[in-house]
Amino acid sequence: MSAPTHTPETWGLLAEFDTADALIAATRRAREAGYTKMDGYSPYPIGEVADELGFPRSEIGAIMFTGGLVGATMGFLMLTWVSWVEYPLNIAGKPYFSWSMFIPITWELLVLTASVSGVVGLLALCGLPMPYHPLFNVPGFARATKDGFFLAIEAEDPRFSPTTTKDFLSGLADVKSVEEVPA
Amino acid sequence: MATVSAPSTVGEQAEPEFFTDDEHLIGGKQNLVTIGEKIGNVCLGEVPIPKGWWIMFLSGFTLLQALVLGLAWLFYMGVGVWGINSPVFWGVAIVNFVWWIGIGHAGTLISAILLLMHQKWRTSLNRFAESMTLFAVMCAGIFPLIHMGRPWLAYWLFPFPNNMAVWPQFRSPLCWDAFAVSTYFSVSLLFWYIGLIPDFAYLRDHAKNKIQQMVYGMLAMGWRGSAIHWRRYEKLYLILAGIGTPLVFSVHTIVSFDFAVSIVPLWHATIFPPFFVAGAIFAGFAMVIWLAVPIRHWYGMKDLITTTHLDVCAKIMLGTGLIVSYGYFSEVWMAFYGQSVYEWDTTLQRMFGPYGWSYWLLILTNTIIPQLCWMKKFRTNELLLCLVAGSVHIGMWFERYVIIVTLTRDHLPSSWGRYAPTLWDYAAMFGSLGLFLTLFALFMRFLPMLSITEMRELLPRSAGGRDGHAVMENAK
Amino acid sequence: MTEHHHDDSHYVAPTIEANYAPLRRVALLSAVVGTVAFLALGIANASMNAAHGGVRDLFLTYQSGFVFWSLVPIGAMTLMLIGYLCSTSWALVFRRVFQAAMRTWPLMFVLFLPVAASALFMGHDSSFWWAVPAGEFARDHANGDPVVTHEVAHRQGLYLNGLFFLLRAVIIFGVFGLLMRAMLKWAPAAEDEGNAANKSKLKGLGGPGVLVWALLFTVAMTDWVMSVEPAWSSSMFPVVAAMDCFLVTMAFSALVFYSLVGENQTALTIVKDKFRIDIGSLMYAFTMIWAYASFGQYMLIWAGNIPEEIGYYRKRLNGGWEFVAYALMAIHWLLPFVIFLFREVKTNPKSMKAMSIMLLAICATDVIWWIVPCVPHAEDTQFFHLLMAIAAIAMVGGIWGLAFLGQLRKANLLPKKDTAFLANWGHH
Repeated sequence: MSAPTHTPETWGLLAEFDTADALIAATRRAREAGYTKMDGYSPYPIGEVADELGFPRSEIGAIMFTGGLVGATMGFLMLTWVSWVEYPLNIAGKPYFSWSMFIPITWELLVLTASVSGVVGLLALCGLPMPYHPLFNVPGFARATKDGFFLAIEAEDPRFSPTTTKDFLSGLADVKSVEEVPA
Repeated sequence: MATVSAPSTVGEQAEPEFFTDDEHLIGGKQNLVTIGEKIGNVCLGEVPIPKGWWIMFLSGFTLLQALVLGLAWLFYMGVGVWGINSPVFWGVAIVNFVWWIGIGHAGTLISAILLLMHQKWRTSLNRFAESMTLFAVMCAGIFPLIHMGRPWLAYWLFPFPNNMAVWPQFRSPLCWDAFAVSTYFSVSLLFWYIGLIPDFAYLRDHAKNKIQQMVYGMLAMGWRGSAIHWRRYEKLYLILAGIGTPLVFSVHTIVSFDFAVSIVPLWHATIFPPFFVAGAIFAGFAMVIWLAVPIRHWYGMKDLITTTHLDVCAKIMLGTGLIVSYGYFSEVWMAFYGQSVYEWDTTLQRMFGPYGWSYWLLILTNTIIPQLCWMKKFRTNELLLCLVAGSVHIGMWFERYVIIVTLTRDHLPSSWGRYAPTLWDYAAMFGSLGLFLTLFALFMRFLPMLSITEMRELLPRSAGGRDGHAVMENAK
Repeated sequence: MTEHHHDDSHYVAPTIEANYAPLRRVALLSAVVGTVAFLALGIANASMNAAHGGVRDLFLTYQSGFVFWSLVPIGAMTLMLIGYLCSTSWALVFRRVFQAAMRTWPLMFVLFLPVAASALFMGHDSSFWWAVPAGEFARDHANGDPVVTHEVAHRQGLYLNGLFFLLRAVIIFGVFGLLMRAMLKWAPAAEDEGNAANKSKLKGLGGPGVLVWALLFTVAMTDWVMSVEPAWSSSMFPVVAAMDCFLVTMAFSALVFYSLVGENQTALTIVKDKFRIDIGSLMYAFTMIWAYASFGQYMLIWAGNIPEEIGYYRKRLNGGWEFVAYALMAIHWLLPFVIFLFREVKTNPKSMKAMSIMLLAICATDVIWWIVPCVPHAEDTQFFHLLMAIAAIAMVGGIWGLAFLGQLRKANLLPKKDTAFLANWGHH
């Protein structure tokens, strides 16, 4: 991840705010100022921050829908194939294709595959597990799981500059501190 | 905790009065920091272990030994050590299975259905209720497994290509059960773990020693509260709740199919699916009440699990109990109306036959005693409420007992018989209670009993929270 | 507090300008066309098939019309009781619709009289198999349905006989009437003046009221629907019927409410997206529980395959009725299941109106499917009987609808004070 050099690079700048509302406003200001590579961090979800970051809708719904549909279809086909083709058993004179009796397992498989694909999808999209992240180098960042609301603008951002971006962040309303995040 | 100093430019105005909470869901003067400390410090070992916890853990652990012994003897000797014999081959083991899995359902109900119904009060209860679900499903899962006689062949229930060239019999509800219970356990585990990730991150960041930091750090998987991650997280949580709700229904429905797909009189009842589901929720809320009271006392959580919560749980218990009672009415009504000789005679046997006492005990404990919850005193006084909940536990156990002893008298008088559980039945039964208590005690000690994240959202805006307007409104 | 604060005690709901004329025209048209069609088809059928139960078909199809529309006032009563008990938003939005529906209860009893006459006086031409004396019945069916043994007919005769049937109906109408009367009496002071005593009385009535409903609704559905099918009983059936009852009531209320409100912005700002979503979600839940209960009943009876029960589905899945069953699966479950997933459907009054019409139609089909196939008709006449039943639904609905609209227009669509909850929701 970090380049094989001993000069400390900057991963980005991290501004802390006291309230969720301040973080929402700051994110909006940063977006209006043209920043794109940034993210907000908070102890609980604040949908408005994601909205301001230009991430209005997550991919999870589509993933789970697809996963569930595939699981249920495969499940129903498996039940039909086993009971009708591969291993037909005469049970109480019931037809081999007893669709109504296949519904319970089909349903369970739908739920199972939808849930598993959702969880795997979340972890994959968020790049978790991720034991190391440059942000963890900032001691105050522990407050992101407590009572701190953070906005980080990353160095990768085309508009990023160690000085002007820092000035921009420091000028935001209700900002508590602005720190550099070592890479 | 920071207060709102300057007028904010975004969102609604903060309320001038601090810490008001019309719904009485969070008492005291809690804020983002105190919520985290109150719940998290128990896991981090900052709170002295209460005496009650030791009582719970040690008694549970002792009972657990009965399970170990009971199972060892069972595996050595076979299912003959139990009281099952013709005509009753489904004995106390099946009663316990249904009893436990029923208890589990309230956990998912509180988490999933109440989330969908915007019930903010669920927030204080969902975590430990979900844990209750997991542990109850574990206890439940033991029984069909050991009931098989050859539990090491349990995997035959699942479809996989094998060199015996056989496949499961997919038209059997017992096979559906295997899918239902294992799906239920897996999905509950995922839902529970996803809910725990941000709380693990809190514990990681505020750990008091290296071991805590490493363990909670690994469990948190590097969660850092990114807004993008939160968006996906909320959507996942919401959809899991959305499919978890019909999942609860389906699981107990399939359990009821175990009985209802047969043509045994009074087992073959079309009302069974919703009747079983209502019974499950009924029993589950009784268990939630039993668990909430010690948590309130031992860990001083009265600010977070308030009397309002007990009141609501009691009301739901009363409501679902009435649905269960409607089921009793419906069974008798249809047996009377349908006038099938077998249905009606079995009904009379159930009421006035050799096991009639258990039917009337059931009516007393499940239908009559819970009516006390119409009175507010019984909903808000912890002791009285726990007594009513205890009656429900007994009642719901006997409900399934009444169902299985129906087998003692079937169509053919020459094959009538009796059934009595043996010591080993009870060893497994009370032993499973030991397993539950042990697991729950460990959970209380090492995992956040309440969801730190969701309790923070529930805080008023003036205290740093979002008034509980989160998952439903923002999940996209 | 800031100026954002709204004091509920001074709130007065705005007057909603609603145009009742279009709905009245629909009801009138439905009454006239329905009656003409019902009588024309019925008389044609009766004269052509006089020997094969032509008169009976008239009563049978009328009965489906009565049962379907009786679900609306019963559902209105029950949902209102639940609404008071749990303080729900949808019971506030639809309060006037529910109240107007409850006021039509005496008319519903008048509409019940042909069903009572069928049970009491029609004998072999009755829609009820048990209206025939037990001895004759056994003889008639000696070569017919093997299930209906003399014994069953005789034993059920103790319960299923005309006078006792009438007595039970009187009790059902009486007790439901008392519950409705109590609610209608206490409501004005509670919702227009904020009378606390009445509010607590209404809330207190909720729990016991729903209990009474559950027991009597079971009896009503046993008598009015289940008893047309010889020897059949299913403890799930009242649950299926209850879901249709709630769904019909909600769909009917949504149709009436959104039709009257139309583009009226005053009303739409009060009935916010959140509440419209709740209404749609509730209807969604009812379709799902209906599907759950119907599937459970079908699967268990199909799996059990015992003579007393399976006849119900054999009749309804053969002779052309199976297409109705497919329609039920598609429109009562699959379509709403997919369509209601989209929030935009629930917030848009126009699409909710369309959904409500669809759901009302399919619930009516469900009721017809419960009742009309109980006597096996010749295969080529099934469609004719379906048309008769649809005409009966239109006729009863038109007549009842006129009375309903007459009650509805008496008061402003939104309660004077209680609406404050809707109007001020989301403000701090």
